[in-house]
Amino acid sequence: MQMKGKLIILLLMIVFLHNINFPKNIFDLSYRPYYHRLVRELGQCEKSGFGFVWQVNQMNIGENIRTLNFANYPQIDSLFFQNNKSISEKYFILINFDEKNIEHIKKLQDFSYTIGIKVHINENFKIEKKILSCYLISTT
Amino acid sequence: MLNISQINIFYTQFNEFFFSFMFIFILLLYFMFPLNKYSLNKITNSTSFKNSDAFSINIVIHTFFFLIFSFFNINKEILFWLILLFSTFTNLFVLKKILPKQEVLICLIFIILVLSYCLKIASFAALEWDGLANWFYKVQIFYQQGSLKDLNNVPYSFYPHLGAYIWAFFWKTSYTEYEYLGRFFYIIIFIISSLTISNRIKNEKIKIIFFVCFVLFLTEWTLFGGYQEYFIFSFVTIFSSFFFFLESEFNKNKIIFSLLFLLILSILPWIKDEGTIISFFLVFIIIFSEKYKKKHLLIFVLSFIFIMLSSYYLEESLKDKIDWQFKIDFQNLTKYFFDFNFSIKVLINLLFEIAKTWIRYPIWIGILLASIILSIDKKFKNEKYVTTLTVSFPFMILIFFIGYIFLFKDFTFLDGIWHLQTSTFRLILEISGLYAVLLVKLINKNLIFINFFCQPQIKPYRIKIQN
Repeated sequence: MQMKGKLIILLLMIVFLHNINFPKNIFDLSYRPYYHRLVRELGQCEKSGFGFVWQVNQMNIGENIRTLNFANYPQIDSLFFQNNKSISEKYFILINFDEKNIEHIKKLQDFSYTIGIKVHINENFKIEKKILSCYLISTT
Repeated sequence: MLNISQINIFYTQFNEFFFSFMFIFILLLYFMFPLNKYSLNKITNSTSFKNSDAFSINIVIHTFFFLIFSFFNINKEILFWLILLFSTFTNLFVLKKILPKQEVLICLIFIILVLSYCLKIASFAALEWDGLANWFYKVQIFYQQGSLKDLNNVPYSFYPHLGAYIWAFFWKTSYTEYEYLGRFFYIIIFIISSLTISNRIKNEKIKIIFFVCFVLFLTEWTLFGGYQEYFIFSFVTIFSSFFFFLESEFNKNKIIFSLLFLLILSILPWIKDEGTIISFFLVFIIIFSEKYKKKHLLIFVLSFIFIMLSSYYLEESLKDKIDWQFKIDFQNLTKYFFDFNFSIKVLINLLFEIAKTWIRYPIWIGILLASIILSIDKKFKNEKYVTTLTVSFPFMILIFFIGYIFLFKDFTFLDGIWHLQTSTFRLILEISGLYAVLLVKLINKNLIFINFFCQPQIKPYRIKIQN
């Protein structure tokens, strides 16, 4: 191949690598820890509430806790799923939840967790931990 | 000056980049076993197979064994290191033979693409919606040495598990907490299958341009976030690159090729539900393309039916039930299919979504142009693949249409339009490799025309005439 052709390919490769944020990706991977990148994408207490769910899972409750997200984001329970542990019927994590919002309280009584699974929580729940709009609640 | 703790922080942070970088090359080495270009050409008594062909066949073989291993609780680490060891020994001594000078440039571009794509998903790290809601539960089960029975305890237990098993396999064998290392597999098979079909183009320059465009135009970053679409896409593309090309190699090695096709067709249903439909669709393409003689075709189709039936009963016995995401309601078909208004509404929306997909993946504009040119041109009238592929596309749309009629009870935004918007582009992406054959064939047939524009102009020498 001629020098001109090689130069064009090199130039296109540089444009492509720049476009794909190649240097930034290397920087991210080298200096921004995994946990921080997940919080950036999945949110601390907003979006999917990764930071809060991670904190709750550090408390060693001993069961898989279901996360009920009141905004349009996916549930992130699978990231913390422990195959040998049961799914808690007592504790629940609520993300993007407002305890003063009547609609949210109503939704809590008949929450579609996933296809075929519904969660019913009455109003008498106890708040175990709360950060902004993220709650860890226990039912009686 | 840096103290030890600061150096330690620097090291642990740089660790992740180092692991990711190394793991990409380890994965590539893993898929260089059992066949390389040298051994493949020797087995098939041919000279036309390239590195990408050997890679693709290896991926199919490994995936088949992954499927078998997923039924047993096998130690993933031992298996991984054994294969890596074998791969190193078998390839080390023939490295010069398998990497000739002509392939250096395309190999370099391949490595740059794999590296940049892998590092991008590593940097993003998070999973997308379906990855989080469906697939990662299964990955966690296999990562934590669970069995197939455990799948019954998680949401969407009826979804096939092969993709999740392979993801967990490579995550486990990376010895890190970073699940995205397992997802590098999807990127590698996507780029290798794209390279395999690009390698069918005879002109070296056009091949490189096609390869880069094919990869870039079919990239959907969301689908690398835990979806299985690229897995199906890669297998369909590998199938197309071996089925529609390499005529003389096929005639010489019918059994090897048939085994490869059967493996691909039997693996597809274990990746995703629609893999079953695509698998049957590919069998119909095999039947109508008349590549096999009647007797051989009968044996092939019977073997396929036997494999599909045994897969079905195997899955049913292992998972207790086989289900779909939505309840398939046969009443819907009789009720709505003959309801003209409803059917028209679904069909128009489906066609609109397909048209949107052609813009989303611009390679489809080329495919459409190629199918029109090839259908009109009298030169290609005797080419069976042109009619098979061009006729099969409307047939595919009909399958989508009937499928959607099954699912929708009422064509509201949530029940109908939303599903069309979120699934049609993925279905089209999955079959892109199949129809890209038309584009590759057109490029190869018109190479004389293309070469005319690609060749550098030769300046005529000036001859001085001395008096």
